[in-house]
Amino acid sequence: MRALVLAILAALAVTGHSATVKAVHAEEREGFKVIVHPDNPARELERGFLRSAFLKKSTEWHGETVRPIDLATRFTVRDRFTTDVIGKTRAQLRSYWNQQIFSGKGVPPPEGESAAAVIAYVLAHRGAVGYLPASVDPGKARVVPVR
Amino acid sequence: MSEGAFISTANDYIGTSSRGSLEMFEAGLNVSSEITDRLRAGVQLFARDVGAFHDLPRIDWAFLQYQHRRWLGFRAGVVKMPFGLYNEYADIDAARVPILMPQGVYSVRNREALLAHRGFALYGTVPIARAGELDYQVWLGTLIIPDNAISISSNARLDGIDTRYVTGGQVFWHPPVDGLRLGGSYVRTSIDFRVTVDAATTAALLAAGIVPPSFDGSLVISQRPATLAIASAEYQHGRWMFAGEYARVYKRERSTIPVALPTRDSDGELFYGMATYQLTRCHALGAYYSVQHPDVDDRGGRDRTKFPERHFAFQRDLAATLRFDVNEHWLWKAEAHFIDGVADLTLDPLSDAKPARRWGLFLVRTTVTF
Repeated sequence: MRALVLAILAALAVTGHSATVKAVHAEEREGFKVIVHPDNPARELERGFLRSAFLKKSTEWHGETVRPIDLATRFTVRDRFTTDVIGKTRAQLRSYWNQQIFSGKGVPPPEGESAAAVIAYVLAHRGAVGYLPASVDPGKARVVPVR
Repeated sequence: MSEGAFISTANDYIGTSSRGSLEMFEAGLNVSSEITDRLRAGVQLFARDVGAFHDLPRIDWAFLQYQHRRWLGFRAGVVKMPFGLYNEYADIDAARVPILMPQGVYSVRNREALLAHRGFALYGTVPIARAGELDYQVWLGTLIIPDNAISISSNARLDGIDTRYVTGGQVFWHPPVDGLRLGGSYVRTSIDFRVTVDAATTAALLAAGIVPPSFDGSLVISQRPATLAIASAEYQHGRWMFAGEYARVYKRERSTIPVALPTRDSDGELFYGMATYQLTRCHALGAYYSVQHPDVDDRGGRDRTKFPERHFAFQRDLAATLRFDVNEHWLWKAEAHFIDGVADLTLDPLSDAKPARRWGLFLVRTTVTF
């Protein structure tokens, strides 16, 4: 047991626990806004629906296939969205998608490599829903509040 | 793809663990495609060399999935069998913290038999207003049990396995409490094992007059039915995850030579509690305590006609795991088990070996997913 504790402490020392904690805190300060296609009639979105959409449990809304799009993992706001809306940590979400992928049930939403790519995807699909850092101009995409 | 190693302080578990073993290799290759927005198809080939289990590449699962509505979907083919919280994901090392899931419920030995069935399944999610939502799955099919998934006494040979059916259902309630799910699963099957006992045993049975003179050593041992019922709870809160399950396994075993092998009922129980904690993005800790009792009427092993010693009647396993994710595709795990009892050991009833009551099992494993 003592050997196991020492191994844990050694592993933590190698990777720098405190630096990781600071990074996580920095991410938590960044807000996000949710965007949909301008023709989408939704005036607000429930957090439960967004969660279901990004876990690909919801299949359609307003007669359209739900098409969620994530930001690439390098965007710190993605962690905020994952925690606040999906209710999982990054590791828990990765575990969820590993389960879905390797059991053949589904694949995660596509990832936008930039905010512009997310906006372009949302404008190209009437059933799309995405999110952006709060400071980014959504262009012609429509921002909807989340309750 | 995974490779690992394990060693135990006593007893042989999974394989020849008491001498240490590098036989912990698994490789899976899966392909799936979203053919339309609602239709998916996929297949997984899987091979393993884990201790006593050597499986050449075989189809692990292969099914089509059509999601008609959120509340109704359909799967057909070789479909993963959902029971408990994790059986559908028992083959996905990257999706969990422990190397060995609690063996009472998610046995490595039973993996080949219980991972998937050949048949049909319906599934869906039903909202229940302010009470949250229900996920359900029901299925009907047959089991695909490779011969090497069964351990058999050294005086007999397994000729074949016929499963008449397997059916079951699972419901999970997601109440309006983030991260909580509560549910139950039920599996029922009927299996015939065709066995031939060796010449010496055949002669002994004939001489004792407990089989008819025409007995040639062939017999059928049936489990009709074998049922598994599990109550499950899981709660994720921040970096913590807690899970607990309680399962009962009921079997009625009968044979074609009832005088020698009379019908008998068995009622076993399995339960565990598990917690995991995500220390950092790369590190996670996990621990569980699991208990198995093959006979709920004799948890302490007092009946010497059933258990040669008391510790054959239970197995209590305290396990701790450290998981280190090098990156999103590569991980390492180290795990220690402190075990009391031998109920889950595969013991040849004809062997004189006396297993140790208290023993340890230590494992390391690395997995790559791509």
